[in-house]
Amino acid sequence: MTEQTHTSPAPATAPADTAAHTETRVSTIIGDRLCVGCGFNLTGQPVLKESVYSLLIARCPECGIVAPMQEYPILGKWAARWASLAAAGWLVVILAGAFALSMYTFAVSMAASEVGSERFGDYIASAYAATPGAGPSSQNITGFGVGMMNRFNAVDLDWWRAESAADHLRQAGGFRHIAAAPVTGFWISLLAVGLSGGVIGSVAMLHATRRRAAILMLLPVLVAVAIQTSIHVTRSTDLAAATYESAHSIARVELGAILFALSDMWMYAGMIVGVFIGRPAARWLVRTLLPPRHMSALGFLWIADGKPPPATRRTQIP
Amino acid sequence: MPISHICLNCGVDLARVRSTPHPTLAINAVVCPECGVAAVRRKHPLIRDSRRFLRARRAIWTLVGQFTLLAGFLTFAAAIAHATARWTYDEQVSLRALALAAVAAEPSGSRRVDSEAPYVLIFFAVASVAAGIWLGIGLPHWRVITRPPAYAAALALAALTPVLAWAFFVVPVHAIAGRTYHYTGPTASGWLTVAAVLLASFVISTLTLPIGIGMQRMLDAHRRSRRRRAISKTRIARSGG
Repeated sequence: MTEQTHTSPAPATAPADTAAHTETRVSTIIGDRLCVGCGFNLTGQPVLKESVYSLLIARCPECGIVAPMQEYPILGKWAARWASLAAAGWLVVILAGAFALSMYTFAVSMAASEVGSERFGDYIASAYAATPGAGPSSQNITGFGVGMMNRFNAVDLDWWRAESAADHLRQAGGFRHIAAAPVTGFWISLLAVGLSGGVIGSVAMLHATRRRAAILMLLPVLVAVAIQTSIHVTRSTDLAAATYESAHSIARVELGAILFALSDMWMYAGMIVGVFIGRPAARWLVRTLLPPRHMSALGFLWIADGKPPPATRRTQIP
Repeated sequence: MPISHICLNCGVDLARVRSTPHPTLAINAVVCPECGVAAVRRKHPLIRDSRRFLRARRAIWTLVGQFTLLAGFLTFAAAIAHATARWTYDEQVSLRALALAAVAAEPSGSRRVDSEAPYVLIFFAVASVAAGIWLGIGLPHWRVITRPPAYAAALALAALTPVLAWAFFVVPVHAIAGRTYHYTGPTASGWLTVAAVLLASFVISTLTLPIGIGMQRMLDAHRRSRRRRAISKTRIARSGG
């Protein structure tokens, strides 16, 4: 091996040290190694041993930047770009999943508020028609269902404001019977989707503890709550400014907030359950269905929770 | 051109030095021709992570495939069992008559059953055989003796799923609404039919399990011999002859 002693080019910042700083050539780079500064291929450049710490370095002939040999050779600019793109893609997938959950929560809660307020709307229309002096006038208002007794009949809001909504709800059969019963199917679907979302989320967000994942799962629900709130406020404002309104619209305003809140609650309850059973369920599935040679590739499911990863050697169940 | 790999002891670039298998450890080592210090090839974190991702992706797809197969076999067997119970109830024929009609085209009292039964029987037998082979090939990490009971338990759970869904979802929903939802599932004799069909599926699968185990061993032997051939080919190529 050829050994030469070089005096390093004078760095601008430490001229006093330069005199004592010598570099000894120990070898030559024969593989691919790109300069970290300008990307120039350092093949053929000397490997130098610097005198202070005896570190092995190479110096780029183009830009003069020193590359320590202990570092991994960089893979080129596109490797880092692809890695960034993959990370950004993963983030987009997570955010898209959260957005889809928000939209599902919002859509189903809207359906629940429509369906859940139908019976109360019918009741309000019939109560209004049964009120002496009020019923006949409602038949003169144009709109869908004129002449028929249903929730689309227009109701004089002065009459409604003088009434107690809670009393009417009680007389109609109570919230559970008149509003909750028709929408339990929607709530079960929210619970099931929330459960699936929680399971997938707890596995996708492995860096997060269960408590943190449960808090993060609030994000899609909060987005849905924001949209629901704006819709409910708009409905209430419209109702406050109107003189006549359909019985269904009144019922939606009276029951909408609680139907929205209960829908969100079911969704989040499913998510919480999913977060807590997600990783154990995934580990059980992996242990049950995957041969050991594949199991080791999914060891991160164990490591994330501080558990010993599954054995890679052939193990038999049970 | 290979990626640069500098010996941290003497600075020689080991990029063109061939790695050799360690005599006792299952690793490949690169010995520096200048100083004799051994090192292993260091993979860049990006390359290492991407390979780890590919392995995990393969494992995830295998898991999805295994789960789909298991769910498919169980759902098919349970669906056939419930459909058979429904047929025997609707057409007022015994399971034995239905089976005879399927095998020997013997009149069972219903033209609809007669025309469909042979095809259903063929699908049922093929699915049960496939399930047995899958039990042999797909679950090599399970003891042979525990695979049939576990599959039997899974079959029973699959058959009971409609009843469990009725009990835990449909009934509570209707109870909240103040209504009663009557049971519409199989009767006691219907459950006997379900059990008989599932038992037939289980027996066929258990009988074909050894075929699956044999195929799994053949696949393992093939994989090992392919690996051995690849290693010896690499060694011959490295030794230059």
